[in-house]
Amino acid sequence: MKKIVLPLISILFLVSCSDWEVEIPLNNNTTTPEKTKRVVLIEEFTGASCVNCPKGIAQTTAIRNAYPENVVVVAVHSNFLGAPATAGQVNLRTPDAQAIETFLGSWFSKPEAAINRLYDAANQTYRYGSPDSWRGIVEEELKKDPVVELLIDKTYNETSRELKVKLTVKGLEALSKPLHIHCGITESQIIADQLDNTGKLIDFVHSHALRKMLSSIPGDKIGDGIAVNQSLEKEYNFTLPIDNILWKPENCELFAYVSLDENEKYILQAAEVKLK
Amino acid sequence: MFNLIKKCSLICCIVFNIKLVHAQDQLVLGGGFQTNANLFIRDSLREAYKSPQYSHQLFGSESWLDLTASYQGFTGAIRFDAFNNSNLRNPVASHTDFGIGKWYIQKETDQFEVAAGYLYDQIGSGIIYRAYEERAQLIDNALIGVSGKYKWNDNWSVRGFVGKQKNLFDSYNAVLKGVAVSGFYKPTDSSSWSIAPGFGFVNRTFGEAIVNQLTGILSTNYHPVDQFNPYYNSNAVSVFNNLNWKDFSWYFETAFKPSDIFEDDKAIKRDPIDSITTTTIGKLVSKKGTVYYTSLSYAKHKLGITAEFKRTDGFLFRTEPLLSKNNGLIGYIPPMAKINTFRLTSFYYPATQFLDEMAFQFDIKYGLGEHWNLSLNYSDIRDKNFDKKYYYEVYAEAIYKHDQKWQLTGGIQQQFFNLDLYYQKVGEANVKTITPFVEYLYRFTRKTSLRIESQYMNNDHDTGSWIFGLAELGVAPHFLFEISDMYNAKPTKGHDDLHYISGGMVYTKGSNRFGLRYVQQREGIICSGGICRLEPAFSGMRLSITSTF
Repeated sequence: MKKIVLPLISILFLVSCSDWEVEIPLNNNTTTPEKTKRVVLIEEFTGASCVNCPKGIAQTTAIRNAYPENVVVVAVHSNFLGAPATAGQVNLRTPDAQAIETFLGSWFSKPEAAINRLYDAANQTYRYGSPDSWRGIVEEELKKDPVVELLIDKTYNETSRELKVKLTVKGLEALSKPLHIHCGITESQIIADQLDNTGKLIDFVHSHALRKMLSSIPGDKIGDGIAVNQSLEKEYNFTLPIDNILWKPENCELFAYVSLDENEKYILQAAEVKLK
Repeated sequence: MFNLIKKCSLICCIVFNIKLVHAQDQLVLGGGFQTNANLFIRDSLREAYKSPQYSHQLFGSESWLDLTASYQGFTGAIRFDAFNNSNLRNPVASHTDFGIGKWYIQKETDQFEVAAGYLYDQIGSGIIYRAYEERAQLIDNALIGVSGKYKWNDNWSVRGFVGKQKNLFDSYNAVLKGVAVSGFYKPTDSSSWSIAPGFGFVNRTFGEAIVNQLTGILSTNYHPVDQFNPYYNSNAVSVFNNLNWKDFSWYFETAFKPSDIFEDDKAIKRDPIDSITTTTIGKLVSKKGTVYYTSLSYAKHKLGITAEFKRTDGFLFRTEPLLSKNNGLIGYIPPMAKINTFRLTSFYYPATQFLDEMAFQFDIKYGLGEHWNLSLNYSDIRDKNFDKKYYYEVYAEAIYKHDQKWQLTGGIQQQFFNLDLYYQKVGEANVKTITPFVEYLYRFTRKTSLRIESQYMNNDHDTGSWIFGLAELGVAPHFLFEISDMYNAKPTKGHDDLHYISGGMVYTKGSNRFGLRYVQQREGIICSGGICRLEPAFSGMRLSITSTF
């Protein structure tokens, strides 16, 4: 018994000793990030009936506030937990949101975010489940120099509600892989209830909700590669629908991104402008 | 007569020992094979259309081939795992991968035993450490590492281990180390009491990548009020004992975790900038945790009584703090609700709560005369202050056996199930069910039998009331035919009155079992040992093969 008692006392001593390890200090004096032209796309998979999603929304809001010029957020309201929190309210789910979810494949729950469609090989998914981890991934992506520059040029006719978009991709580095361009419209300032862990958040303000993809879901191929200073262009036309609640042009954002092909999916650069 | 028995026993012992020696000297091989193959048939009506298997992959399977060998004190095993368009890992996705899922080699020399590879073990009831496999949910948290065990004598031993937890064909980033001492003491062979005490200690050390990630998250995403300094090490310790006295058996285990970083899904997180107006629920915390678990049982003649109690406070122990669901769990906390076998009595099952739970359970079984067996179970699960109701169940069952010819089982179950907590259906009314059930088994001949079971679950909330019926014809020793239907008899608003029909057959030959079924299965939560996960709707053909050799 004595042989047992001594090791036990030693282990209990270790367990009870709170100062046995030096803790890691936090880096609260964060320096302003270096100016970069890199713009990262966060596709946040969310839903009005998803009780954990406000945590994801808070996270993407914080990231966007920290990097207003370098982060584009698209809130993808796909079918799963996407039904209105209160019956009869605006439905934020769209076929394109569901198509993106299907296109990106493997997922587990909500909230999850695809960040530049960076593939998580260990978990075989493009979607990251812990909102706390998103900022770190975004910051790692921001450290990468942009391979291409992406410019959005648009004209919007308020009378006819016609939108004309011209996207220009300019090579900053030579790349010999197929390039796809994507373009879509998000809308903010949408008032609709949102479920959370404590109940229902009444009149929650939804931001960057995906309304429509103007390009095809895998993106439209614009070239088999790009040379330095070479420009590739693509145009889209769209007429905004008339709706009592949705499709307010003053609340809409026009976003675009350049990716590798549908097999690799990785996003090289994103951009966003206000529609009006 | 006594001498004759003694002689026979002696001969048996000698023969048995010779066989053992013989077996140790010779190479002994064994193993098993299991495969589940699914043919997916799209059924939008029953929500069986959401994963890529329904749109274009059409076929998916999971297979495991185990081989074990022992030779001259060495024991080794290897398992090949194959996943082809499998939805077992992620119920709403497709997963394809192949590789070695397990191997180990073990050697025992005198009083010392060493092992290396993929190791399964548990300390006490598993609260601070349990490395186990549960294929139905693809839980396989073996430790990839080494272990050693030293036996002081036949009753006392100490063992230790170090390694990383398995993550399918990879491993998690933290290193686990542990020591466990377990023993047995009985004053004399004729004593009416004995004890089996034990002690366990587990240390988890985060890898550099995890600590860097935590530092980044806490520095930038957290308001100063919510911030804390991360650290590499966390410990957990448990003390347990099983006391047997006459017809009583009393087990207790207490576990303590001084401080650990984990995700508290009920904690309020302030916005790092605007803490006045913006808060969300769920954040990383550094807290201590405790579990108290005890069970007292009495068994004599035809009476058996068991009472259990458990209180859990902040005992979420994972290999990495940002993991969720059933991923990376180091420990296993015993569930406190009855494991039901009938389809509708197991419709709602409470998942074990790692952060906040207090529960007790009583179970009484009594054999009345030659024909009757009665049982009663009551479980009550609430928050750690035993205030907020999570789940309760009253289950009464009576079995009447009429010789060898037929057997009738009947009973009733009443449940309360907190939908908000277990299914995160916020704002919906909690479920209250009453489920009568009946099962009838009739043996036509020694080989042929028919089993019929039926349940009706009365429920005014969630998906509504259901009725289930099953008929199973057994033709021993080879065939088993089965057909069943589950019907949403009184659906609530937003749900349809759908039938879920299944049918199939099983063919058994020796140690091989082949099953082929047509299955319509609704989406639901499946639980095993208190660990639950989403099981998506399924429609299609299901082939299962198990073989041992």
